[in-house]
Amino acid sequence: MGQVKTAPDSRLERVIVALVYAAWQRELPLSQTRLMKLLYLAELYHKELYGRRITNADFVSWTYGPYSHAVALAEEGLREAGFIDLEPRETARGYTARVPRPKVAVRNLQLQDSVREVLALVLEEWGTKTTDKLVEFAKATVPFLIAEKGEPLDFERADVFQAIAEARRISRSEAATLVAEHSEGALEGARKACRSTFRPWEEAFS
Amino acid sequence: MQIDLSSLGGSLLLSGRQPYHAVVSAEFQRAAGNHKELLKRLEVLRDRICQAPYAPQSELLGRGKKVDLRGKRSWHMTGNFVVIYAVCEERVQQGFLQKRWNSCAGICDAEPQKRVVFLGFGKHDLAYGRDWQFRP
Repeated sequence: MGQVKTAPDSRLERVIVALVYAAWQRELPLSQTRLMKLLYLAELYHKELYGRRITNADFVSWTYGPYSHAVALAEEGLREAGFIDLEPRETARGYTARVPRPKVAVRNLQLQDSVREVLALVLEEWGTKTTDKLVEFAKATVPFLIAEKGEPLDFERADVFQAIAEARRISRSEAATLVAEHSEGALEGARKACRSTFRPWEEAFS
Repeated sequence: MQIDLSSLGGSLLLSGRQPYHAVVSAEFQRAAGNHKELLKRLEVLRDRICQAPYAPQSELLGRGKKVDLRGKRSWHMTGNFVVIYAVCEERVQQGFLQKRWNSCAGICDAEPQKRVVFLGFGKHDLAYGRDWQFRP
């Protein structure tokens, strides 16, 4: 991989390149299906943390979870442009997976800190989990749950508080309270706060 | 400059730059300890909350049917988890302290500290239960 290329123009392509590079460097399993789901989760996590998506790629509800034609096209474009290629590799079940891997080094990727952080998080959390678990989790996310098959996923409705508020015609605060009350663990903490002991986060989880 | 791969796999980028300081209750610590696979995501969420505790993704809670949660905030986490926290500064400035809405007696000094107190964390069953109508 001696050749160096300037990063592609589109943000979606740059994110794909970053993900493929990071997975390859950390020797994490990757396939076109996994790439799709990891990108979907990155979008979801970023929206949840920062209130906005990373790219504007559309995802639809499909048999094996969220699918994006834009991601598939971008990946194809990156292969044609010589950024990545697909390496055939036999899976544990005897199928042949086509594993995306970097073909050249890339400069000036220009991704925001928040995007890099979320990509790192997604890889750390899901990079070694099985594809079945990844698909199962992606299918249990709110945008997927609320879409019919073939319908586009609405990331705006990933906001659970807002979705419940709209569905029940209550305020967002009432919906958030309802969610908290349906969590025994969270409620227990809130209930016992006055009798609790407190520690700095770093000390508690060191 | 070539792609900096270490930043994608290294320590959290935003750590240590938050204007608010994080403390956790014993219950939060225990609940988070039961979901070790989520600790990394919780760390990122902590960083984000300590960066912007009043962000639109959070919500000020109200009086519930089971318990009075006024003065506390919550933030949803994908996978049907919820984090409940309080902001000391908001508690003092918005008068929650006088109303006795938050009772973190073990840590409160009645000053508007730039401090986020993480109170509770756990899985909720609303989305999995699908007892809410998604469609109009």
